[in-house]
Amino acid sequence: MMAFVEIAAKDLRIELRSKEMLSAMFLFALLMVLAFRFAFDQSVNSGSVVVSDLAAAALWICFSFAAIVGMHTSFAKERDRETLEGLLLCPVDRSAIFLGKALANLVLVFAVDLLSILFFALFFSYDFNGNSAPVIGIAFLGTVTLVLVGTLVAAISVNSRAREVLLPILLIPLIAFSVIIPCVQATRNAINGQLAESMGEVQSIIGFAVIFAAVGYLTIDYVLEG
Amino acid sequence: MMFSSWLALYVAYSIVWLGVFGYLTYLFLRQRRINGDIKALREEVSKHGK
Amino acid sequence: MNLKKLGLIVTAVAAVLVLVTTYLAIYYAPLPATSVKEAGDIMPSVEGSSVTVSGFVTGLNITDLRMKDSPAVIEFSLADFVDYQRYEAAVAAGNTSSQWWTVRPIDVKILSGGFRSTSFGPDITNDVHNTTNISLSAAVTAGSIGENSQALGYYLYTPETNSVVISSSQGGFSAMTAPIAQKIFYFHMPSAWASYMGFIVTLVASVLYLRTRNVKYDWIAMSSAELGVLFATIAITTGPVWAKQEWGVYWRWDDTKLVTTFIMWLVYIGYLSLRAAMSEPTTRARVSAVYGIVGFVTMPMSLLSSRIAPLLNSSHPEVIASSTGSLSAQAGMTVGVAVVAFTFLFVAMLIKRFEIAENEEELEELKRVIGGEE
Repeated sequence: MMAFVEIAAKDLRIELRSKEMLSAMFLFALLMVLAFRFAFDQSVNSGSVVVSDLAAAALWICFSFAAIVGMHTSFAKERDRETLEGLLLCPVDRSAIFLGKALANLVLVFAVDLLSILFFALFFSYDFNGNSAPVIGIAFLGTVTLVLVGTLVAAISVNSRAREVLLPILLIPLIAFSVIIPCVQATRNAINGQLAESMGEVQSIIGFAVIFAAVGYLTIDYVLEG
Repeated sequence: MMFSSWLALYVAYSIVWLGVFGYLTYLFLRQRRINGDIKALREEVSKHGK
Repeated sequence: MNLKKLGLIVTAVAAVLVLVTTYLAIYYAPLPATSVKEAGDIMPSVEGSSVTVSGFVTGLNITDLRMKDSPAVIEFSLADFVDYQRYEAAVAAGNTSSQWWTVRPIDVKILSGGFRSTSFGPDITNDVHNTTNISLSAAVTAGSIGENSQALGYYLYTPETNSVVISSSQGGFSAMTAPIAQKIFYFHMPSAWASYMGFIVTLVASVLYLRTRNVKYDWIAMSSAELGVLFATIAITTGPVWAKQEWGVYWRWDDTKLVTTFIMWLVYIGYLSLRAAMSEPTTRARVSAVYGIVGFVTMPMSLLSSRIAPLLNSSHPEVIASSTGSLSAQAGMTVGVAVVAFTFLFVAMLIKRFEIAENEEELEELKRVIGGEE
């Protein structure tokens, strides 16, 4: 049962040694926030864009795309180094591989989430109205759903040619409704201190996490086969 | 751009008919091409023995 | 060959039924009861959206005309019904409120300039009389939107771009939108139905493929996904054509039904591009079957989103088995025939597409044989 923790620990250990993915995601998040800073410079200064609205949207775009950049490698690397066969030969359930990969991705993506929030706070000199704790909470919750569906789709797209392009094509429609729309709404409410109004969104994020976890758990055997 | 209700109806019906018949035409042409290829290959096989 | 025969029969039935549907939709199905809308209902906050009101003129009242530098005032009612004779007959028979005769004219007040046009065509002022067919367009301007706005009305403009104001009474005017475009529904909804059916078949065939590893299920899954995308494309392109007439905008991003359907469409486009990016047949079948199962999450969301409209936000009409409004018997029958027609059409196309997948496999097999010989 704890096999998936072992697999996650293995992935994280490799990652800590090479820091390939972390540094890429870190730079990506930094540059994304920077791009938002430049793009919305005038609008924020003139007040035509409210920073609390921008924060919710910009953060979730950063999270999603940084996650796509990161999750893509979680299976692609195994395949390129031809270690996937070894992993599949391990005497564990395939679903443990799925959960392990998802857990490792969760740790990495959530770390990048925290960095993005920090960068946003720095670049926009914004303190999230003092509500950064619920913002981080929503970020964690949304990231759970994001990595569950993302890990599954990454396992799917790694089989194809042009997998770098295909992952966003396959993933963005799925996370649009399950993560981005409810999370942006919930984050906006959280920033305004009205998290209680977003219980519907929170429920739907959790619901989709459960759905995707179940679908991934049931189908990953077929994806990783062969 | 504004257009009248009737024009909207024609546009929508054209989309339906063009979509359905366009796709059907595409299917028939594709099938004809594939069948032609199969025939040509079969002849090739019988010509070169076996 | 049995399949081929079946395919031909189904195709013939589908063709006949689609023709019958077209006939019924245009000639048999009645125009719907005119949709009278309160000011708050129509595009409450979509700036730049506009609505066209067309119909014939009734109750003409010309109060002031031809005064230089003072606004000409022409007041008349515009009834949203094209056939004036039938309307008059209905009025004479006291029958205007029966199911599809409901004609509730809107009051049009032309303030400045009116139709007096200098550079365009004939002087329309003289031509405005009872039974004139005219078409007016209303646009939401920035002044009348927002939460606290009083909905001062839509600024109307004629094709000649003169400004007119429709029903200056605050907040309470009603406007009718073109009922003719409603006939789009008889093809829009069956297309959506066929696409849902396609995605259900994809799901079932994907599951069956993973269970049995019979490659035929993979072909079925692929064929019906392709058809689902085709019909979904038809549904989401004919929808906006109607929406432009009814809502005044092509698309509403705040409408859950539209957004979820669009996402569903994107997911299955993704499914097809995933297939296109893989060449090894068994891997392709296996992996795309999983995505076909994952992506199916979007289908019930799209299908049910207008049912749970009070929870979500959708102004997309909910037609079948709705408590608020149901179709007239004639319209209901037309929809029924249309749905059956599109079901047959879907099956016919599925058989055709499946045949092609079979032929392609045969071709690949032949190529392998030839390749192996050399």
